[in-house]
Amino acid sequence: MSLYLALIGTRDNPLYEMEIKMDPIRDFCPFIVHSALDIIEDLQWKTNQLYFKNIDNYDNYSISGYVTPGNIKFMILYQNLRSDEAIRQFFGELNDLYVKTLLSPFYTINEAIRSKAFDQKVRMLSRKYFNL
Amino acid sequence: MSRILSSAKPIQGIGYDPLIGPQRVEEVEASANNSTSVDHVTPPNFNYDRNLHRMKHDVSLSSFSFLFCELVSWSRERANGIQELEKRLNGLGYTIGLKYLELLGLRENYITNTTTSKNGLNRDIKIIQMLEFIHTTFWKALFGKTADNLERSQDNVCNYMITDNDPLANRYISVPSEFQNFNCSAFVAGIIEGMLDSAYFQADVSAHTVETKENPNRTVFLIQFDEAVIKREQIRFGS
Repeated sequence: MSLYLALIGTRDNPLYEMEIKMDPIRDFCPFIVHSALDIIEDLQWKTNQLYFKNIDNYDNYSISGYVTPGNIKFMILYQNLRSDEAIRQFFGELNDLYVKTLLSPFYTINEAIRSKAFDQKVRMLSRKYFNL
Repeated sequence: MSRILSSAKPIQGIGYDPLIGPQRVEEVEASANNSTSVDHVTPPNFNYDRNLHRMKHDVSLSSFSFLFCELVSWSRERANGIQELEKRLNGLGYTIGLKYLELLGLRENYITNTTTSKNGLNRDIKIIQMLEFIHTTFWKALFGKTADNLERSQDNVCNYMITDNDPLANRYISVPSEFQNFNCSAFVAGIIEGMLDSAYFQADVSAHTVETKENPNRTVFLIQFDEAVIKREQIRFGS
């Protein structure tokens, strides 16, 4: 089980990244995820859902994405995660956390999220849903 | 929750730095041990412990009016002329709109998820859906009622109009005669513009007073979409 998560802003800039046990391809993760951005940017105008599962894959890894109403993209690259439903709920709670960050008056859109508390909460979420 | 509590090692946050990329807790701890010992306990952050989904989000009308009056007079002191004043108010609203769309979308999805069985996670991808969202959901969340009218301009395909017979922002503000074309709802227009922009419906929004006998404060919000938005709509949905 391994996971790489990236929050991508409206200028394709990373807002936040996290990786757990991605050793063989650790350094390529951002490239793989960014190459899937084109696909999700096409899909997001076709259907009005938030969660896009299995939009792309690389080797044995799959990529799923989530687009918020304000067009921030959450992307994960993963292998052997438990279920799609767990990923969907993970994204839902992550959206909650992101909005809480956004509501801080000291945060502007597209700024990197450096908060330790945010980092901790996201790691807790990944343990809760994926046991990582 | 029980799994989190029972796990042996408490989870620590190390923060994210875009220049370094994703880091691992062990690596950060190791490098910290090499130099001086740094306390890695994450401070409590009340921002993240609040619940976004309380059912009531009301603010008293008097405190809103008081704050808004100060906003207007603050902007007026710093602006030369009516146009700049409207631009300033618009800009203040814009920053709110950018963030408010995310919050409102989340709350809306949460409500449809808890009250109906269907999976109500949605974004608005058509112009008309987005405008209805503003006309109904947004207006209800902000002013407690829906806007009075939503129509499409007949001369220009890019223009839409939302009408409010008695906008809250204008209720306690009387405009002096030398400011004849000024409308305080420029602030609300700014919020709408910010929301549309962050949803990728680039538009200019302005507020105009169009009074009738019954409603002297009747305000029309004119929404002028970019041509690119209209074109995208035609390509995607062929209308």
